[in-house]
Amino acid sequence: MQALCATSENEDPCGLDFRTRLLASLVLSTVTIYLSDERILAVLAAATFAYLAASTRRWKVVAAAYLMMTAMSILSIAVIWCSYTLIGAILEGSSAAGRFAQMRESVLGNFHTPFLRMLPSMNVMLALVLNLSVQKFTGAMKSLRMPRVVFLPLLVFCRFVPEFIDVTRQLRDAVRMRGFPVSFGSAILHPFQTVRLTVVPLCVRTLRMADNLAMAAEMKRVGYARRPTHLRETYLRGRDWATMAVTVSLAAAVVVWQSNVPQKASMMRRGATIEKRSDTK
Amino acid sequence: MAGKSRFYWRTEDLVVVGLFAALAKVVSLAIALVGGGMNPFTLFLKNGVSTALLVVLVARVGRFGVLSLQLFVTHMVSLLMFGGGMISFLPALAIAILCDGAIALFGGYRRLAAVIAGVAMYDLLLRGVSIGMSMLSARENAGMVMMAAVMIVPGYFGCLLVGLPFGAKFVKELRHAGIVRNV
Repeated sequence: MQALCATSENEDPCGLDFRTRLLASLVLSTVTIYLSDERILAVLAAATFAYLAASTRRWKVVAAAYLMMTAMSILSIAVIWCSYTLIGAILEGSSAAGRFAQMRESVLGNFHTPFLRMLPSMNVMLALVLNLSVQKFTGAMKSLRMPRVVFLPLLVFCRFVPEFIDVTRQLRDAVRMRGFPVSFGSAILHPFQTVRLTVVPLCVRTLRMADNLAMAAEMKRVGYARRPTHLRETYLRGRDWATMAVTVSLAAAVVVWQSNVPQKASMMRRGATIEKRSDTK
Repeated sequence: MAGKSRFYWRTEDLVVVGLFAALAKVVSLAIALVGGGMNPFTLFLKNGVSTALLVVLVARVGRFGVLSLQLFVTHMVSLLMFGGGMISFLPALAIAILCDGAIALFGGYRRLAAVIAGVAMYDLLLRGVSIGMSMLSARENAGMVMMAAVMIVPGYFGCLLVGLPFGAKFVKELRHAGIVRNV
């Protein structure tokens, strides 16, 4: 839960506003879906990495995220390849076996583009998340004039995840004291009993907690103020506007570049086929 | 209490939505840890429990738009925790509004059958969005898209076989205890 882990020791080196980072994440993540050329994706990944490098000093977290992504990519490719090999071996002799063999080869054929597409999104998200704290987040929600219907559930979520981890631990101990082991084996052997013994008490506890919390919120009139009050007003500064302009320009540039690439590629392909035809003639 | 009538959503409803989003995340994490990662069994159970919690939440709050609000909170949380789900947000929100409408059409939030049908539809359509997203993000590699589509199947079976029946059972137990009063 990175949002809760951000501390004063990890101050944002750029001093950018949360709204600026949110816009950058939104725009660049959306743009990456449209892109399919490896060179453009690599350029965008490099640009977003520069943005991430300027935004954080928490290199261990960044390295861990990159390592995790690499490991997951290799693992998923390996699992998919093994699955197709297994299915192909089971269906050996039938007409479908050839199709699965083709699928297996296609997995290895162009596996880098989907993962390359994830890199820019991951960089901008890391830059957003590593500079976020609950205070900053709620402040930004208020400054964005978010209604209580949006920020109250989010605030409750941020506050109660650590509490629920404790509640889950207590519940596990209570179920163990009753003689029912909570483990992978018992979940396989008695899935329904496991769910019933763990989820129903959690639901009851949550709903009672919700009643108490709602009463406290009503007594304190949380969310009833017409204009939100700020302990510290937040403004968009020059660097925020500059970052927004660079983000939008970068997004527009890569979209234009990508829209030109397929034409050239198709022209090259057309040229190649024309050459082939002329050779055969 | 003149202020109360100003808002469609009561504070209690909003708190319940936030708490259930937190609970769903913690329970999913706990199941993934106990189950040893993302295997088909863990996916089956995790989705089942999430759906059961969703049924309880919808039955408890019982207002039009609860699925949409829950989706919004879950997506914001996913964005902050894992940095994902930004692109799929708009289609998923459209689906949530559609399913809220379907529950209202099937007989309203006071009928458990309507809630169950709406949640089943919501889960199915959200899986369609997931497949669409994997097709978009891995369109160069048909093998990966195919496998992502296959991985969704145990999750949906978990929703159908565990989530919906258990959700209905939990709602009945909670109604008996006087905690759920709408259904």
